[in-house]
Amino acid sequence: MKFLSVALKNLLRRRVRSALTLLGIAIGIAMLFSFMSFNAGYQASLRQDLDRLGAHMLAIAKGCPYEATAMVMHGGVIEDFLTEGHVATIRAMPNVTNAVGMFMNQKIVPDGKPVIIQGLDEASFALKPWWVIDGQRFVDANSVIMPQGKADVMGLKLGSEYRISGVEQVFTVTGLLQKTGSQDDQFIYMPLLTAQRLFNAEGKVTSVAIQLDDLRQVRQVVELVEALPDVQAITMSQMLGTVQTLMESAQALITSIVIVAVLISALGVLNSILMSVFERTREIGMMKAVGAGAIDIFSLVWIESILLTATGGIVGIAAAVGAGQLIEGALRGVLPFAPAGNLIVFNIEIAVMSLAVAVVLGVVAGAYPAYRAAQLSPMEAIRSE
Amino acid sequence: MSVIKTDKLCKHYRRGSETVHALQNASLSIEKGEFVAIVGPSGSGKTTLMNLLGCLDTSTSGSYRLRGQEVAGLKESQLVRLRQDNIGFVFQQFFLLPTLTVQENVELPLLFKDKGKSRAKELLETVGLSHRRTHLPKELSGGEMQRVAIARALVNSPEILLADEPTGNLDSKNSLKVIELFRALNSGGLTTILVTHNHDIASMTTRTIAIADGEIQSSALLPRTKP
Repeated sequence: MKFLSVALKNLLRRRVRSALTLLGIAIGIAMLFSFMSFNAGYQASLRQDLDRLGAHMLAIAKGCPYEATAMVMHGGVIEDFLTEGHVATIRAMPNVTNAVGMFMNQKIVPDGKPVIIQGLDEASFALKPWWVIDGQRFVDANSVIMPQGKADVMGLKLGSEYRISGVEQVFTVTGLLQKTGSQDDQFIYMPLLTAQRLFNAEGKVTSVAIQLDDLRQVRQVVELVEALPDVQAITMSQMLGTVQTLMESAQALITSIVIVAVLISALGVLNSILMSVFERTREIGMMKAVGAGAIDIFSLVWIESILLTATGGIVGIAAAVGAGQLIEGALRGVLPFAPAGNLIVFNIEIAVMSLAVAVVLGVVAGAYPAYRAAQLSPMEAIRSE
Repeated sequence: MSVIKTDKLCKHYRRGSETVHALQNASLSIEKGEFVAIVGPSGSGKTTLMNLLGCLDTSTSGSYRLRGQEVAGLKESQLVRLRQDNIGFVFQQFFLLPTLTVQENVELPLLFKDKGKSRAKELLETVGLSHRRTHLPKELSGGEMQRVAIARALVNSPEILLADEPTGNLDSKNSLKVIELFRALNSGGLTTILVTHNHDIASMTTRTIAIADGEIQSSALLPRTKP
């Protein structure tokens, strides 16, 4: 017989109370675990989105940096364009390996979501070496490349006709882009010139994607690009920073809610264990009379508390993993900016960390009841009624 | 040498502004193998005396030697060791842990003391409850519960068995069985001290120490009576 089994059996003695206390801890730890998983997943998928841009920095017309970031990462409209002259100028700059004009705009469709169109030329494909395209790239000015997912939804196959409502031109699907797991799965691709014409913007680009031969030269290239009139440069780290600024206030709010939930559940444990110590005053007195020292009693009560919170932690983590998709959906609805990949990524480090927090809660919340129990007198067992 | 020897043992405590003299100048000695009843009405100080003899409490003044060792002035951790090594307790309300089996209850004191082999099985045989080994306390009668508690008191092989109103919660038939068990254990050489206000029970021991108003009134050696 071990302390652990005596403590466990004692918890099972008051099943309802133990279960409710455990539920409190499980909720607190589930929130903590989901939040930490979300943070990790969010960071990772944000980085992945940025990596998948295929460029080290972008040049855009001067404007709002938030808009620019949103446009670059999710598609959107920038009213001010750069010209193909800019592309050539930037390509000629020292340390620049490649500069590609990107054209992106959206057609508002009377019924349904706006269609985001990206115009590509041969150089653009060089930025996306991981793209797998079934069929061909562009064969003529009416060619479009569809992401496989979108094509499936719309019932389009290779060679199908594709129309955009409000546009006379009839397109043909010549290529299907296999799933990339990034924002690239959201756009429709057509030849650069076709896209520019569609929006009456011949010779114009929304951004210039720039690849450097040495990332340590970023600062110098930024200075050169920004020396051009009405042009600003955005580096990857700036984009990351912009999104993170957007996220910080949301994270601060969630953090405080999680902390409050965890603290309340710890108070529940403190209360529950303290009650059980008071109810067992005479029984604890008996144990001291038959040879238990203060440390023995302290340990017994402490183990009970830790057992309760550790079990609660495991239940909470399991529940959070089980409800991961649900939580992801809920978070996507409230976030100011959500990357394309999985927001919540469960990993073992976070699970271990959450479990450690649960154990620490048990250690802290159990210490006072354990101390009170250890101080009880063995005479409690003798005291006559 | 006396197993227990007290000299002018006193216990005072304060209740509000008055000082309560729970025990005054109690001097007594109990020899190895004696079967003693401490009797007295409630409030007489017999519980105080039992707490002191059982090393559950410390005296205000006076001396108490347990097997030659002075107990007065010891720290709580030292009292714990003395209890583990010398005294087995039996309580009026049994205090078996409801979640543990009969055998686990008997072995409970071993949890707090590193000791080799458990005597639980042989002790359960001694108290006649081998067949109840895996039962839970709620499946037992009051008399059986008290016999389990007695086995628990013996598991550390104590020198002295100290019982506080051991038959207080039992009917007369079960009381008799429990007292018979005490007598049997005593004839095996175990020093046994019962605290009771029941004179019928007290009359079955070999000596009665009467206590009233915190003072020992008499310490008569009685002829052993047949039940």
